[in-house]
Amino acid sequence: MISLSEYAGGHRNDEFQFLESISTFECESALFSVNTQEEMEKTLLSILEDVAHGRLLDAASKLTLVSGLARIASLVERIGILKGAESIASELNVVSMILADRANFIWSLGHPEDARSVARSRFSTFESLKSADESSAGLSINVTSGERTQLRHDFPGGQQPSVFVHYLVRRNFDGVSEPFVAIRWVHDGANEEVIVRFRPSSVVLGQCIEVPVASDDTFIHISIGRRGGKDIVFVNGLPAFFRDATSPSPTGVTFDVIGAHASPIKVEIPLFIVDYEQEVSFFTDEDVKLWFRLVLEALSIEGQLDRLSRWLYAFAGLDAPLSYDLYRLALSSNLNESLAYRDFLTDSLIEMLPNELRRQALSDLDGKEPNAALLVEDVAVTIAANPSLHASFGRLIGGRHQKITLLDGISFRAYAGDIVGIIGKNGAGKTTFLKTLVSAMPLSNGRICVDGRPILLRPGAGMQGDLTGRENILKTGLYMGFLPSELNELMDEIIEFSELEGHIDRPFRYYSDGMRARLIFSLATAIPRDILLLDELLSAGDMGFQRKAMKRLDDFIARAKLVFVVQHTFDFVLSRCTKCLLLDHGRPVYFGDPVIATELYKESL
Amino acid sequence: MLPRSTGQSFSLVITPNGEVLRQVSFATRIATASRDVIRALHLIRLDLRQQVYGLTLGHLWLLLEPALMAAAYYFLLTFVFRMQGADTTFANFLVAIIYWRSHAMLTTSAPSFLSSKGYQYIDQGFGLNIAFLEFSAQELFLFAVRYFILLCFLLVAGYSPHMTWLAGLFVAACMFCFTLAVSIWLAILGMFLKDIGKLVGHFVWLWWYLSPGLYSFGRIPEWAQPIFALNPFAYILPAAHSALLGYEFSYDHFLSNFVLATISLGVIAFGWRVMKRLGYSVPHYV
Repeated sequence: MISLSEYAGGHRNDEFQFLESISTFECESALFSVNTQEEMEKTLLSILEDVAHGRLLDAASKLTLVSGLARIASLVERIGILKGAESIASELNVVSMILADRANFIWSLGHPEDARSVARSRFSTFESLKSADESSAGLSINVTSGERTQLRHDFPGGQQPSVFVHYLVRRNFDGVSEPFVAIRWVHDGANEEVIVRFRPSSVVLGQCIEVPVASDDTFIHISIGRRGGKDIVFVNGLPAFFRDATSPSPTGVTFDVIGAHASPIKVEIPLFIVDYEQEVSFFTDEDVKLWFRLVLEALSIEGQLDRLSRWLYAFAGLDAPLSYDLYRLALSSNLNESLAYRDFLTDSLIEMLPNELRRQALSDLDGKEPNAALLVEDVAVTIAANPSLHASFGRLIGGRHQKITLLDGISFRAYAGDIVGIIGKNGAGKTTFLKTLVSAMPLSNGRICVDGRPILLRPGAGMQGDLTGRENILKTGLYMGFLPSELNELMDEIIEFSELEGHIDRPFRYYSDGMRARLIFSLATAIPRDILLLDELLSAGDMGFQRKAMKRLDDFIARAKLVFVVQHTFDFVLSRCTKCLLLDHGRPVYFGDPVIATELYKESL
Repeated sequence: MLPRSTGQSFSLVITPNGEVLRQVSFATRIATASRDVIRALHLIRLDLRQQVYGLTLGHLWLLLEPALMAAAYYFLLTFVFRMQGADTTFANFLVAIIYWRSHAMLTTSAPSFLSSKGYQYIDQGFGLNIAFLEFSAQELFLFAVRYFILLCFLLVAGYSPHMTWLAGLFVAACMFCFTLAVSIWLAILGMFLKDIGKLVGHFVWLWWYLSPGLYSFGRIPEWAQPIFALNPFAYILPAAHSALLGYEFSYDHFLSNFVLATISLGVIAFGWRVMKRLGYSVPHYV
């Protein structure tokens, strides 16, 4: 077999010629080429022949080959021939369906008894919380809500150069009303980390890389393993995830089913697990790098920045230095128009350049990047666990105070036009971070540079119970730096929007919680500011008011230069934020694409 | 994120040492200061509104309170104690108490300023400036009301309006400089050691009796006069008495109060820098 890279070595005169040449690529050992539909069919027939003779491994290898070549052919068609192909998502679905159809065929018409016996032998080595139904070739269990069943596979001990486990799963569950199904790394038998989650129309890798697959009842081939200090995942034979191995190193994987139904239901998951000790993929290391660059190129040309962003995230661990031309190509896509991905992509691309080119890239960028409206560099906040005891007698005679770290290692840039969502669990540091931006919380490390003074709007900010609603509008507005004349101009509009015309001259203390929230929201969103920090302001009032509030917030944000929003509902973050910061215990988990950030957050819940 | 260089200059940089603002023009600073004054005046108005919330007589209490206080002292000194001597008259006492009250109110509440009002304002992101402006300007306004009541009582008591009554305002301004200088440092100390808030009331009470409010400087024994002269109120209160009751304001009175105000302004400037820096780190202590 020759590798793609070997093949490409002598042909790469220009990008398009190379891409076109791949479409006529023939694999010496596999006896077929796949540049026509007829040849594809021929390949598939040979797979069935393997199955008929019990050569399941060979069949699996060829399946991945078919899948890989089909994708490349599809990509080439998109880039080189430009026949108005549809989105990559739909093409990946097509590829998956091709594979899944054949896998189904293997399962049902091939040698089901062989499959069952292999499955049984594998299950016997797993630590199963519930016994698998012996009559099934896969997993057959009764699950209730929250109940968990694990099929665990421990990696062999010692220094293994390469360890892989392969799953052939028929996804006859939808992941919503049916059980939650995932494959996870296991660290030392305890800590777990999701590798793959199954969704109705996709699988999600590494918590945030979404690979679309056919939505019908089809098989997916997932290979999970570790090689050369990298965590690697192949989906349907194609490299999908190359990251530096997490620490501590995984000691195994589990296939994990958690019940979602209140009443017990019987779940049958056709599952075929093989612990080959080597990966089964058509791709060599060089092929993976080439594949990575090809897709990067394709996505750059098409300007699909969301996919480009996820592609870079998925292959962050791949040692595949970019050429300067490819780097420039990726940067020249409509990056400046996309606030969500600009920083992440620029940094990721620079990191993938060889050292000698990195300096050139940085100097090229110098002065050409748009000015940041906010620069956050390595921000940390550490305070005494009990500040009120800071000057206690014990402290005065030399006692030490316990300290707690509220924020640590936060760095990012935000630009004019950005709407940055901040998400995380309670106590993650969301409000504390907003406070650092208005100097209400002292930094213990790092710096924050702002072009303009931000204003923090929180429920109840500055409101006094003894003053009327009207007086509170005035007082809070004064605190925010406005003059009474400026506030009086906005007064009628604030009152009207808050729907408090009949109550505005009553003392604030007699307002209901909903009335208070409406007044605060109306005031906060009536005053134009350049840099806004909104802390849980969007939960004001009833549903009708919330709808009205959302529209007003859009107008409000449109007038601002930069907006930070702390919000627990994903709708706002996904629909309106250009970037998202995910915090966990004061540490940044992710900054960038709101979709990835919310996926990661859901995963941590 | 990669450590990329940025030649961009920002208007505000926040570091562990606090905020660094980009220098703005003098005209901008004047405009900002005038806005702050207008804001402070309206905040005082709203604060006073809160103070009289639910009271039938409402804002009238702002006048009634000092008037009732003055009437009570008048009754005690004139009809109950019947004290003799020019320096123990009701007018003499009322002048001293009107001046002293503002000093006592500010200094007594100063130790808890950063841990209560200051912290609340910082926590809401409103900043320390407006908190301190509100804290001091409210007392200044109340002094103005009390001063007006004082003048009314003096007129009733038979004193005639005189140009030197304006000098009484100069003395008040000097006293406020001194009071703010003391208050700022008490606020700073109070943040580190909250117990100061408990002590300062007793200290201020003692200070009052060591000041020439109830008696004149001449009644102090000669050996104690050098020590007594260290008390700034040994210059403030006699100057106020002289301007309001004696219709004269000597060069010595002017000079002593001017020097006091100048030194106080220096102490305020230094104290304000320290307090702003501490205000940034107030969550470490509160």
